[in-house]
This record gives sequence, structure tokens and C-alpha cells, in this order.
Amino acid sequence: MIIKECVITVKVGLHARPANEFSAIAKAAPFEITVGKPGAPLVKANSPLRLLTLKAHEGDTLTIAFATDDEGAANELFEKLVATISE
Amino acid sequence: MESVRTLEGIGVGNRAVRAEVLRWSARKSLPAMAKSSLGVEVEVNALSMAIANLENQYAAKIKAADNRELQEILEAQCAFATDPELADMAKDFCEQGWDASSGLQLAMSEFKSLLEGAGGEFSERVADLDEIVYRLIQWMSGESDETVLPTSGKFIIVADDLTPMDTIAFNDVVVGVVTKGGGPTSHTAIVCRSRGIPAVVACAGADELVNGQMVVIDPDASQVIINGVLEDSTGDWWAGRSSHGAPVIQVMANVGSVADATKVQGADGVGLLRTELFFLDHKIAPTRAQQVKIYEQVLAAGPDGEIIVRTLDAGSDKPIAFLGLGREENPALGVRGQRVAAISPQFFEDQLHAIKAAADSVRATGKKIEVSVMAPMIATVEEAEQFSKAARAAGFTRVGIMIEIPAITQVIAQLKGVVDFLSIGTNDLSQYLFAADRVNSGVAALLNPWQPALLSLLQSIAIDSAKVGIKVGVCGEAASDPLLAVVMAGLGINSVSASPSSVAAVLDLLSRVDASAAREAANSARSANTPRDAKAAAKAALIEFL
Repeated sequence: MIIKECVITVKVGLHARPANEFSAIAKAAPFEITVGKPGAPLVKANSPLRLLTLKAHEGDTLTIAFATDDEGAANELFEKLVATISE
Repeated sequence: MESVRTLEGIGVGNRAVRAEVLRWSARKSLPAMAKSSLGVEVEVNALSMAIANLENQYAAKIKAADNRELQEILEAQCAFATDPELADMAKDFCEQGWDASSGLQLAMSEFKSLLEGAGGEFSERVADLDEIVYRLIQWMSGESDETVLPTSGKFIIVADDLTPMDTIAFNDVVVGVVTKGGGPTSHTAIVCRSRGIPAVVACAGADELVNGQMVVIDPDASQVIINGVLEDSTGDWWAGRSSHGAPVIQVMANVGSVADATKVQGADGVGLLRTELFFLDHKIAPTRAQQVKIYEQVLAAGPDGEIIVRTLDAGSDKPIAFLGLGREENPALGVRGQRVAAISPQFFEDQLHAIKAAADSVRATGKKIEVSVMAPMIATVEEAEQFSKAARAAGFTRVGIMIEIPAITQVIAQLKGVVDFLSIGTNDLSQYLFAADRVNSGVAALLNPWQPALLSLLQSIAIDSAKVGIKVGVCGEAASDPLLAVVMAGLGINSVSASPSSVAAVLDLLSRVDASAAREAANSARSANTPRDAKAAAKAALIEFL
């Protein structure tokens, strides 16, 4: 398990287009990705509905967990995910 | 004979129509919760099939949608509908003995309860969830999940409000639309205007209309006439009057995409070429070379003549990914339009140079265009000077600004030598003049472009501009109303720019009046006390002349 953190900078927050793109990337990943606010339970990142229920706005920090030990693969996906929630 | 009554609203379009009312099915209530009598497997199977079916429907509609905004809304809804978490949770409920439709409702209400207190745009998503559950359950119950539109006949669709999914389904039998909600710039109004469907929106009395009733929609008078006949309407009343040939002022077209540009017919140039649509899809700022290609396409597809390109009008209400605009409490009063140039100067410099390069290369192909640029959301002379300097440095000889903020209307004399023309955006000017949010249907009546205060302001802008020799045009939605375009001519406005679908009607009426008749209509309208009286007065004055 590899865990990373990032901050949402996209204005609308994690719903609509950012949430769609975020979940699509998670869906295509070869291992499970979960996401949540720090300290709160993580939800499956491949579910746009679960992402919506995080109620994550611009400026909120997200914890993203990658169910793998492959640092390179996790980093690559992390960058793609961050791009969807960045301005 | 049944009694004739009228309902007030806000008209969209000019042409009056008479047809039968067809209520856009007020959504039937969902079936009562029930335990399954068919077994888990049957219920789970029904659920999977319903979801697969809805996914196919969305795919077809996304493909058929004619603008990117609509596509994005549909894509987001489709992603919710096909979310495995929804299906899994609904299946869990089926395994507890519930039928498929109950399982779905229970699953969705769980998601909805998780969204409580989210606020703002998040809570708007609840409506998307409701729509998905409704469509899935309709399909499972064997009913069509769409309101069935007849395949023949002519109908006026009456609804509380319409979703993007609804408006996509409209076919040729829809000749008019009445909605209880919405406003002049709402989604429904925009779709109806672009498709040439007459409509009355924000019609509080719409509940009174029942299926089968014959009504006249008279957008020109902003009313619905129950049991009326077409002769009661005011739309196109000038048809058959003689034409003078040339319009009394220049008529241009508004263009926002290559598709729009190809639709323009009869217009003398483009009074507003919006550039927002070209950037909505970009995560990073397009390079100059990429931009040049985009502008070349739209300039080549559009009409000859004067083409006024507006630099990017973005803001947190019209977000563009690469500009890095933050969330704002009041987007309409925040960093938008030319104000964004202060934080992304490089983008705006690139845009000006790209427009100039595209203009030069399209002119080199022999197309007779004169391209100028204007900036949106200018509040001060200083802002106008900065923009003018940047535009002239990029090689433009004619530079203008939009008049949308009341402050700039007070210093027009000082714009002499700074800009060559002004273009009034009536939608935003009304919003700021009347302190009435464009996206709040509760204040839509204040945004009626026939408000006498707005007309008086247009006149004072025209007078002040004429004194210093600056041309002034109107490019807001209001200029798509032929009668209002005549009033604008009478107020001293030099040109109007209308949506491509309205150009012919605007051109038609402007070609039947002369300057003194237009002035007469303008004076009558300006001195009225209500938008309704203003329109009636303008019409009365013109009828006398025609």
C-alpha cells in the first residue's frame, strides 16, 4: 500500500468533470485506488458517486491510497489523478 | 366559446404559434417499495439490464448533443448511472428481499443522505441522481423512460422546467415551449432561441395549462393566450408591410463556434465573436500556433465584412481550466473578463497575436474581412487604455470595449482617442444595473430588456459616444428582438448584432422603418413605466408609421 496526499485546486471541487476523470483513471488502474479526506474512511476511487459523497471542495486535502508496492506505477497514476483536480 | 385568458412570462423568439398543450409529464411518483415475488436473481438481472439500457441511451444522446456543456452534463449523469457502487448497493438490498426498483431507491437514498449539507453545486447533483433513478425505474416497469413525444401533430410543451436531457428529445412536433421556471438566459431559453422554437419562460401561471387546450404562444408580447387565436398575437405583425430596402442601422451576427459561423446569412459582419467555447476543453493554455488554427477556421467559415472578436471572457462562472481562477462567493462581481488579464497576462497577449495572425492569413486567401478586437468587463478608462495599448501593439488598428458595467457609462467622453468603438452587452449591463443575478429566476423580471431604465441608459451611452465620435453597437441577446432593435436604432445605437437565427427577422423589421419612425418608437418606449408598456408603446408608434 502506497499512500500520498494532494490538495484540490480545481474550482468546482471533486464533482462533475473532475470527478468523472478521476474515477475513470481509477477504474483503468491495475490495482485498487481509494481516496478520502485525511483521517476519514477512504472510498473506492473508481466510483463517481463515492467521490461525490466526499464533499471535497477546492482547497481540501485528499489522501489517496494505492493497493500496490510498485512505487513507479503508483507515482504515475498519482500524477494523472492530481491533474484532474488541478486548475 | 370558451373564455380567452392570458398568462404573463418572458418571451423567447418573435414568431407567435398556436397549438395544443402537451404537458411534459410531471414525473409520476415512483412505485411503492415492495419485497420481491420473483426472487433475487430476477431482480438483479432486471437491474443490470436497466443500467445497460440507460448507458446506451446516454451514449446516443451525448453523441447527438450540439454543445460541449450539454455533453459534459450528460457524461456526468451517465457516470453516476453506471457506477458499480450503485449497482452493488442496490443488489445488496435485493438480496435482503427487496425488488429491483426498491433496491435502487434505497441505494440512492443512502447516497443522497451522504450528500446532505454539501451545499452549492454538490447539492445540485442530487437532481441528477433523482433523474437517473427515475429513468431506471421507468424502464424496469416497462414504461418508456422518456416522455413520449407524438410523431405527428403540433404541440406546445408545457413544463415546470426542462432538463438538458428533455430538450435534446424535442422533435419537429414541438412548435412551442412554456416553462414555469427559467429566465431569459436560462438553459431552456438558450436552446429554444438557437432552435428557433418560440417560448414563454418564467410563466408563473403555467400550471393552469392542461393537455389538449389550444393556446397561442406570443413571445413578442411575452404572453400565453389560452383559447386564443393567432390574430390575438403581436408577433410578426409587420409582415406584409413594405420594405425600404436597406436596414436603418447595420445588422451583424453573434458567433460562438465554427458551426454558428457557417449559419450566418444576410448579416453585415460579426458584431460579437465569442472565444470562450474554443478553450473550454483545454487543460493547459493552447499555444499561439494552436489558437491561430482555431481562429482561422471560424474566420474562414463566417461572413465577409467587419468581424469583432471578443477576447476571452472567462470567470469563475465560465471556468477555463488553465487560467487558475479561484472559487469566488460572487462570481459575477469577481475576477472575470478583462480582469483575468491581470493574473494571466501571457495568455491574453498570445490571444491578441493569434487573432491578428489568423486575420492576416485568412485575408491573404482573398476573403474580405476587417478584424478588430474588443475586451469584456471594462469598468474604468485605465483598463480600456491598457487593453487598447496591448491590442495596438499586436497590430490592430480598430480596438473596442464592451459596455457591461454601469461605471464605464459615466466616463465615455474620456474614452476619446482610447477606443474606436463600444459594444453594449445588455445581459450583463442589466444584471449590474438592476442588481439582479442573471442565474436567479426569482429576479428574471428585472432583466427584461424592455425595462425603461435600461433603454434610457442605452440612449445616454449613444449620445455620449456620438459627442466624441465613437461608434456604439449592441451585441446582447436583446438585439435579437426585432422591435427592440428598432428602438435601439431610435435611441442612437449605430449597429445591432443578433443571434444567427434572429438575423433575418431583425433585418426585416429594420428595413421597413426610417430613422424618424425609429426615434418615435424609442421615445415612446423610453418614457413608459413598465417593460410591458414600453413594448406596447413602441409597437403602437411603429404601427402608425407602417
